[in-house]
Amino acid sequence: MKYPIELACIIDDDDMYISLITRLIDIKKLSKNLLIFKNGKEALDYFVRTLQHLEERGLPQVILLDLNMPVMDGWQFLTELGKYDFPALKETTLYIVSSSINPVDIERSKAISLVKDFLIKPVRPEELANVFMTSEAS
Amino acid sequence: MESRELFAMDNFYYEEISNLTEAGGWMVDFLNKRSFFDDQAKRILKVPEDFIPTLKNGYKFYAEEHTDKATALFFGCAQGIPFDTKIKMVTYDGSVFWARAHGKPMENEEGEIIGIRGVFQSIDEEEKIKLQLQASLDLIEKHNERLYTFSHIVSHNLRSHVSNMQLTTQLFEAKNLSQEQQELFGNFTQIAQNLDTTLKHLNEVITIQMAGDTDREFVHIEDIFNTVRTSIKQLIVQSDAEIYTDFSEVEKVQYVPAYLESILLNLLTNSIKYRKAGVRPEIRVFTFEENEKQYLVVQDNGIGIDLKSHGDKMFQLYQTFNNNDDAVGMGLFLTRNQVEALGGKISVESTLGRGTKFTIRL
Repeated sequence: MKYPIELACIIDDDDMYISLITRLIDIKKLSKNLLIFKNGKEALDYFVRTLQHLEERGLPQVILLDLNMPVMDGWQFLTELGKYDFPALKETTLYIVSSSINPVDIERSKAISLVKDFLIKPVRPEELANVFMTSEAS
Repeated sequence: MESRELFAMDNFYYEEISNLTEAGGWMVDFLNKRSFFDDQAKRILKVPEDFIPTLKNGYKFYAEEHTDKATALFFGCAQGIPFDTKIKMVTYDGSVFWARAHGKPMENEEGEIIGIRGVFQSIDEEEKIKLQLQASLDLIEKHNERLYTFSHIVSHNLRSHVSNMQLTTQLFEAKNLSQEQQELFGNFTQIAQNLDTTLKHLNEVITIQMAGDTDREFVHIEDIFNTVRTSIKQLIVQSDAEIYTDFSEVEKVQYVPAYLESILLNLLTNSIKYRKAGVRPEIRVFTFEENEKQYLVVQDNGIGIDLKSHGDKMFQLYQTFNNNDDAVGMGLFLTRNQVEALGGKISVESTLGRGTKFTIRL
């Protein structure tokens, strides 16, 4: 069985969501491996380490980023990661996945070049599959 | 006219104005080292008839916390800087009041400052009311802010749970369940869906309260109307509705375009939804100006509503007045919120069986 994605990454503090989305990715066979971080800081540390050592195999093709998280939220994560300006990040597609339906959040995300799109929770299984399929093509 | 008569007249007006405005005069004469209160000042400060003001005892007429301010103002004035201020004063018998005080330097012919003089007026009532008003305004603002934060958290945090619930129902394989279990699971799915809808409504309301004056722009009412008409073309054709418009009196308005669109959409769909059976719906949409205020009217010949029994509930959330299935009681609530968020007002006139007329002050 071929997976559309080798490595996907979820940054979210909601355990229930993580378990559900993991199951969904498993069932639909969307990604071979999964990286999970509970907040922006954990994820940022990982990305900076990986990208500074040019371990491109450790770089996920898809990132699903939550906004509201303790320690470091999604916005801070984007700002901090953006500062490094890693060229390798161009190979990664980042989606914000949030339960926020606040238009202000959606507008704000549009201004960030790292963000491909804004997905509103609950993400429908077909929608998620679509995200992984299009990321494979690119 | 003799100058003495003129002086008498001057004095007459002076006295009258002083009585009418309850403004007292004061003066400090640097050359003769004398201070002076006029009759009105004496009355306001409740000093005895024989009271002789001096520079020293003058400061006693200012509240302790404002003594420094008064000193600075008098010194400044003695250097040639006039003042116009609000200050807390104290009467001879010790009651504190707010006053508006003016002071100006007095100059001789050579331009040297030889004294200062001015007028003060008790504005205690006015000031107290203003302060009370400000205090209640601050309180309301704080409450509002808290309410906003609260609803935001509620909508956001609740949504996280609801979305997990929905995702769970989507991942759940219901096929192997018994008939009864399938029904119950169906309820569960429906409940998750309903919760999500409710939260979306809540969010719409919050979003409206966030939009401010910065989002206003000049909009052509007719353009917005045409957009709305196109979006509900199907509904108009199906119901055979006739819509008459006249935006000649007010063509453009400073407004949030999305709001105007939403307002027109809600009112028009309402007019069509609540049409009278067997009668062709006729809807009139027009603008007018009155006392420099601009109005938008949407009037129909529909079933109307009994305002006596429903009027007060009409613009509230989740109020529906008939058994129409697609009525959720959201439209007019949103409309009112949008209108009021921009400082306008919406009113309704209606006769059961005759039709309804909404008037919006833009």
